[in-house]
Amino acid sequence: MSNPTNAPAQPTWSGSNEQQTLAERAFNVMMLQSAFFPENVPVRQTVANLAAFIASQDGLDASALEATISAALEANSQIFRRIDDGERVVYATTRLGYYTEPQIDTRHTFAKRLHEPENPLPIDDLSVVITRTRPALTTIEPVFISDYWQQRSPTTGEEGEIINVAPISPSSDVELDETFEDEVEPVAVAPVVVAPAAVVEAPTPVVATNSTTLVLPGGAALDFAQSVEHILAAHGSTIQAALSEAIDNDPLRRIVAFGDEYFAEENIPTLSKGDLRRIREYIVEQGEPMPDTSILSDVYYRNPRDNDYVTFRFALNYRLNREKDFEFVGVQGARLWSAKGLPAVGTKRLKTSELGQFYSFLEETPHFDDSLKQTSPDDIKQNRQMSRFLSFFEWEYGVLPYDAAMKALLPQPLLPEQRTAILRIESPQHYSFYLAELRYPTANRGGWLHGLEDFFKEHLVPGALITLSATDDPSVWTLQYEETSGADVKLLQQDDKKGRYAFVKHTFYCDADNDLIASQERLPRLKNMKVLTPGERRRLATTAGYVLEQVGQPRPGDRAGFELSIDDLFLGVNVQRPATRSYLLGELAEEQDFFIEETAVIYFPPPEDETSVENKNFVEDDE
Amino acid sequence: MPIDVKSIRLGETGLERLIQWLRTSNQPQTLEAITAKYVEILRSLVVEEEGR
Repeated sequence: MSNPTNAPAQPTWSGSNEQQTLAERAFNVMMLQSAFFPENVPVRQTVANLAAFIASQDGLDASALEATISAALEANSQIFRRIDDGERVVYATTRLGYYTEPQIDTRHTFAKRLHEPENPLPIDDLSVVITRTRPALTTIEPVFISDYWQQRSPTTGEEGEIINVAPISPSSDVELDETFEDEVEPVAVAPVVVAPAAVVEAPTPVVATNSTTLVLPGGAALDFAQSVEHILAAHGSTIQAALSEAIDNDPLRRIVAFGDEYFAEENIPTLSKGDLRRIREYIVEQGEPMPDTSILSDVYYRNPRDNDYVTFRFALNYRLNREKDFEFVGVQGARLWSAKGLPAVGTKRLKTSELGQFYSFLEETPHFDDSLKQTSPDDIKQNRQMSRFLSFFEWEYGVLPYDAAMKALLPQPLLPEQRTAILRIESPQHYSFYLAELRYPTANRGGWLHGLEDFFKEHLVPGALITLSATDDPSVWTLQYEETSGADVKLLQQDDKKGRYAFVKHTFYCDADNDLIASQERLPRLKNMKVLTPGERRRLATTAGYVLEQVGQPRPGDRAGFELSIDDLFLGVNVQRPATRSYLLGELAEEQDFFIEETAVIYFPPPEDETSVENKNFVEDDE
Repeated sequence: MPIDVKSIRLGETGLERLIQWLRTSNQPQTLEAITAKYVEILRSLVVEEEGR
């Protein structure tokens, strides 16, 4: 057993007393010499040197002492090995107390441990291997394997491509050992008479294939002998889908995408924490989402003429999209970035969840979306503009629904998981602009555009005809209206403090549909109507019932009811919440308390106890 | 080693070469562009081997 302290062994000495003493002194000298030697590495010393050292200590003649020392060491030959190289005699021993041949331990060399792991991973392609450890930044760096393993891999070809090994066919030039082959005697087979089949099988479609034809999963044949253009024209979408899926499912993420662009992950520069901090501070300082081009020029001083401008721009977008402090709010052609710390865009008087629920009918029951009654999506796309009348709810909260007409006009999300886009709405008539947030629909919630509250309140009235038009910049839109001479009206206003509606004198200068203006002349009984809570407004029938009770004409009879024209009900309901005319009538038609006539709706409120229970539920919802 | 066309799996076979091309192109590409290049790679794998 080795000595962990590396102290030399204490051997047993032989010979006369004088020889034992001399041998021990020689051993001690050699142990001092080998103080830092491994225990099994020999230390060598000549007799002359030993004699000179001992003689100098004892004050004797060294030459006379050599013979005595030689004799003493020979008497302890189990400890000292005599080595005569022809010119001189050397005695050797080790710290173990005996001589042993030096052995080089190659089991733990650095090179061996680096290049030959004890249990290499089962990998197919040895040219690129990904580490299992996760780096600080979320990038996966490839680690190149040594030539040792690459040469030992039978399946690795050039550029790391896996080569399919052809199966050995019987016709291969393989010498078969015929020693074990037994001769098989021919067996006489009785002739079998097969009656002609009466049933004729239907011919199966056969795809003519040759050595360059690949049969796709759908059964179509892809012939690689044809030109690339021809293949793309015939099967481009199939190949594109397969390629896109393979890229998305690649665990190594070797190709990454941002929007409609793809790039090799290895070539994408990284952004440091300092970079991210500077970008965030820049966006917050600007006070609004900024395009990637502005970030590149103002933060990085990059010029579009730089050689790596396109690459770095992709890197910026790709890296920012993976950071939680940044949110992509751009569209195709205008990549805007918002950062944590920017003020929210849009109304704060309603929660986004409440607005999403109000507009959920646009997604859940799209047949109630009548925004395309007057025009078609193609016309909207071609003209790049659309016009519509504002409802009271839209005017009050500065919101526009993301209905079918708006979907035809406004840009679609660029990224699959994108929730919002920030649009700049300009008013050429007033030389002003407003930031509006486009909320894309989710699974069960509708989308909307909000942030226009100030513009609507300042320049428009409910019922105003507005026109939203595209510009050359995909993130900039213009909002216009027809200006008219001033008109005075007592307009319905929402008093948030009192939680009720009231009429206030108002002068407006825009073209508007008088039937949609919530004025005292139009529907005086809207005064003092309560602003329903979001929970109460969530259900359309409840909202309509409340409006009918407040605004409708009481009907005499056994069962007291309320009657209101469809136009008035439509106006009154849209004071409280958004609803299309078809949605309103479609929903009420399914309610047993409502009766829809040709031009009016009649409502019979349920008995008081049911109402109280229902109200209680709303209170619970709000809580 | 020749590549049997039957062994080709769309989206997998030749992907390494596509990645290599994307690296050397040194700029982002559209899905249409990389699809065209991918078809070109597959075609070269099959047709060139066929021509040998």
